[in-house]
Amino acid sequence: MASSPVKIVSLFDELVCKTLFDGVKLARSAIEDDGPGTILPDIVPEKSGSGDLEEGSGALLPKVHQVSDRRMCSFCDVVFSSREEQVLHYKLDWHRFNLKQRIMGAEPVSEEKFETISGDVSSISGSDTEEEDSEKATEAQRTASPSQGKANTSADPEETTDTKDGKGRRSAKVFFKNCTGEIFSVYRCLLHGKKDAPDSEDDLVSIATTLPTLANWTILMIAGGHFAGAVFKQSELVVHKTFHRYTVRAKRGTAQGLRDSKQGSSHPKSAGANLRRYNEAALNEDIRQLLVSWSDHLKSSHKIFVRAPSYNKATFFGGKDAPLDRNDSKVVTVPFATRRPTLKEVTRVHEELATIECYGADCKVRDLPHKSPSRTIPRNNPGRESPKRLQNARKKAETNDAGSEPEGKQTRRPKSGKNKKVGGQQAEAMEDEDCGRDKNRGPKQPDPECLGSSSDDNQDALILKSSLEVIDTVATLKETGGTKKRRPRNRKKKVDKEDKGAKKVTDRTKDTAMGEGDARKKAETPDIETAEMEKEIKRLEKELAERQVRNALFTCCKAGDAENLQKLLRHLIVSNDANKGADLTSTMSEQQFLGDCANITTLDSSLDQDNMQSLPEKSTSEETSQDKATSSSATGINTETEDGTTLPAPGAVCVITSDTLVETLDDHGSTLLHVAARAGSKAVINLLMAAGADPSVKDKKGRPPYVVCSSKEVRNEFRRFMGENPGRYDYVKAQIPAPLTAEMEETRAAKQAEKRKAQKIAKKKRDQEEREERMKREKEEAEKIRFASLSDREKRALAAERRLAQQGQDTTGLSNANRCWACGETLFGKVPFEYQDFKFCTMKCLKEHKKSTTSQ
Amino acid sequence: MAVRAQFENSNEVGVFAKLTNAYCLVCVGGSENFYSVFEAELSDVIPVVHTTIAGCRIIGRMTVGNRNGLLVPSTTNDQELQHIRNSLPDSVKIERVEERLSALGNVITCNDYVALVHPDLDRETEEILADVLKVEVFRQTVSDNVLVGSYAALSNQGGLVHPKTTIEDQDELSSLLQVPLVAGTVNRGSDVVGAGMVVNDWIAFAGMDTTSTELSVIESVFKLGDAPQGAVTTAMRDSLIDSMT
Repeated sequence: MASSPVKIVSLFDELVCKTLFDGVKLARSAIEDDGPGTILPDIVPEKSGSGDLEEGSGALLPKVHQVSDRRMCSFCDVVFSSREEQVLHYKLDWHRFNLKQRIMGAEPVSEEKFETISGDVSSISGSDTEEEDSEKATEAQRTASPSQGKANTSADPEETTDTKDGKGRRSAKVFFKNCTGEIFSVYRCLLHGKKDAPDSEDDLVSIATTLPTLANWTILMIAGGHFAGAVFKQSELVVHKTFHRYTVRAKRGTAQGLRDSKQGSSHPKSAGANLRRYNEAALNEDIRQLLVSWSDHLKSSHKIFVRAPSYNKATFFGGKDAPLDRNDSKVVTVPFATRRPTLKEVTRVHEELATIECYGADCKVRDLPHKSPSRTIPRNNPGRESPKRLQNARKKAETNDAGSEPEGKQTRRPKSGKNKKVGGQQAEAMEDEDCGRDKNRGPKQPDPECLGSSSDDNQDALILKSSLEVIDTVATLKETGGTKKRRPRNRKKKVDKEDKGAKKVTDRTKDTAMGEGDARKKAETPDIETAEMEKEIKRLEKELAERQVRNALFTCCKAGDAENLQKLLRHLIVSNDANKGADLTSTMSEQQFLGDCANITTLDSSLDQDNMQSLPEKSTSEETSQDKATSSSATGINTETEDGTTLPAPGAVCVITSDTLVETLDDHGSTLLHVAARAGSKAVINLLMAAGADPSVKDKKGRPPYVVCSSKEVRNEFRRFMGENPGRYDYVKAQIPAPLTAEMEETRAAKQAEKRKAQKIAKKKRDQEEREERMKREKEEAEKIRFASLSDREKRALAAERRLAQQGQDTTGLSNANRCWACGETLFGKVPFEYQDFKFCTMKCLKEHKKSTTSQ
Repeated sequence: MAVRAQFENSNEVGVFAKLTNAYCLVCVGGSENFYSVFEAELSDVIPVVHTTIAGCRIIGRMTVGNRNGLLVPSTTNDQELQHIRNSLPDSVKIERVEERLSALGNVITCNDYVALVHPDLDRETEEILADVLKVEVFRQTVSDNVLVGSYAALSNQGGLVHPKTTIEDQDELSSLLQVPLVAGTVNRGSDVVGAGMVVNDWIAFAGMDTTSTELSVIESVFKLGDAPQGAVTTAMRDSLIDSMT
């Protein structure tokens, strides 16, 4: 740090700037001439003190009560010249704030200070919380500025001068030296954007000299649903706007859109998620509209400072009619960390950007602090960090491994075969890796107790190396819970390419367990005999083989891989027989078997996540049980094959066969059969049960496999097996209700076919009826339309026809209703003459009738 | 004129009565003694109304009013509100306010022109206050007490404030309220002057314990006692004539 205190000058302080930018040139660490150090005139602006309060204070209280004329507010420490002023003052938030300050026993604040405090508090309401917030904020503000200067001093000062070559990251500040030798710095972003860096220093300097005049800035900030924007003309705030929308779920803290995009197709459908999604869109819309309305301001701005997390950048730059152009030289990012976008924060950013730091004349640019923007905020996300960490650990392990090889040569060579040496070496390497992962322990020290020496054989070294890689991938998988998919697969491929792929994979698993076991053992007892060691190694190897088999079985059950399972089970049974029978060791089948295992375990990596998680779980839970199990059958299992490499003995395999099938695998107490039932692969279930997996074994919730089945078809598989093997298991306990034989299935199928037939017929009938109904309706509709389209005359004619037809019918019934009242002539087809209720065929009849009635 | 009164052995007259230039509210009590004191002094000029607020007798602390209006807290029930409406002159507006600080009499003190209010009073209440009572509202404390209604008694003529109010504060308040102020006590040294007495432009009622010195201070600051005869036609004219319409 510079020894002289740093002076802060505002860019908008015209006088000071003028002197400061006088004869300015770029300050470089190379040209450090010790000119006469003249210090700038004191630039601290004088603050006009508050007015004197003397008037009227000497007046004595008169005997006669009078209205005082001391117009003042003691809380805010102001004197008023008129009544109006006084009345207005009491309406101010400032007064209210000070009033509360007084009540709380705090110091009153001046008006200017209050302005800064209340920046984003629109009004002071009755509650105290807001006030406290603003109080805290001001404190934070006070502390923020000095700490920022201190925090980032790590940047290389040399970079300052590397403006011409675009290589590397430039310092956030540019240092200048004026004619008096005064060195000062301004933010680089004020001078030029990232892409349009000036070619020569002169350009840079010329830009710098115009800086105080071209300082109409717009600052836009968006983060976490908050938006704040402000347009500044020099130092004065022209227009500003803040928005806030609820877009980020509390505590989890990712913007909804970001989360949606992460999750692929499965978007949360909760009301809150929808709300946030809507709000995101609405916020974007709000901002766009605002920026459109500000277009004049934006045009007249010399610089537009944007602070937006990458996710929110689209708001400003994305879309067809983006409000800002990404390539515009005016648009630059804010080169330092900012807080939540509020008006206060925007003004702070504005102030911060406008600061010129003067370091005095007698300091070296090299020593000056560089406020490089700290962009990445470290997160405590273990899921993300671990891969990197592991990679480092692996590198370390590899280097250690290489280093430890010569050391290994010096150690004694035990009687046991090469294979064990390899194992030992790997165990050591594994421990190394543990060292690297722990990071607490230092680099590996040569361990005299280290068993086995490395051979001169290059092949062994190669094997070792490749197996180490595999170890790492396994370790990575374990730690990351299967999030890394690509790498393991690649590694596996590499392994497979080599002709001893299968063997190495076994080695790998061997190592993992052995490394752990050995390291533990070593830590406890430093001096153990070789024989014991060998025993231990055998045991571990066996365990490994067992685990290998378990993994393979589990994978098959989970994935429903009946083919592989069948192979596995066949091997198991074969080896079982072999062990029981005589010394018959079928090396071929072993090889093949282990090859199968290897193939299946490569499947592991491509399986989905929950599978991956359950694998290590399983292995840990098993470890304890294995210790017990293996002690009984530890002897005479290990065999050496022709090529001198160790393979898990078939005996080791047969140890698990019958038990494994009914053994609980995870915390829920599931057996292989449970896993298979859940996965819903029928062939696997059948195979397992045929191989001796008992369906009556219940998990921790007391559910037999039959109950956890995923579908009816899977359940039927159990019943089918029951039908085929009626007495084999306790089916009552297994809760399998009834056997399902082929006959039964046939009858059922027949029944069902019949039923379906009946249904079909019924449906046909129904369809027919429906069709008729529909046709009828259509006819009626057509008729309706036809009638409606007729003219009135035609309609009337139709009506008349209908009437005639009706009358025609009536005549058949010899009714007298339609006959002439006088002569009895039928009125059918005529329009009768009528008076009162009488109807007549002619006028003559009518007249006669009328005459006769009146005469009476 | 300043009169002593007592409500059922309590001297806190300001708690059980509310006196303005246009009306007087008196709580419903066991005996009519308290009421009859007010009745005797005021009945010719302004209505004296028996009432309760939300069934409580502490009407003086719950309500705030002047000749222009009366504010009652949200707890006031409809019957009471109707009764008060019926009893008071039509020129007096009555409003029920939703205010967190429901003891309006404790948090607000006012005369016909100005009001001092508690710093935490709602903005909405402040607006209603300005509209209904037609006063200018000032958020202020009385000798650092936020309960301005309890610690100050105010009329158009003057005001009595908490005895420990400094001269500076008195001056400040006096210039703010545009009435002369005096720091004093009532009821033989009680500092809750607002609750200990009621006052309007021509009469004050204080507790029975009030000493004659205290009474004389009250009379002098509120210009009640031997005001010159001409005052009736000059200083008191506004309130008197308005109140009789």
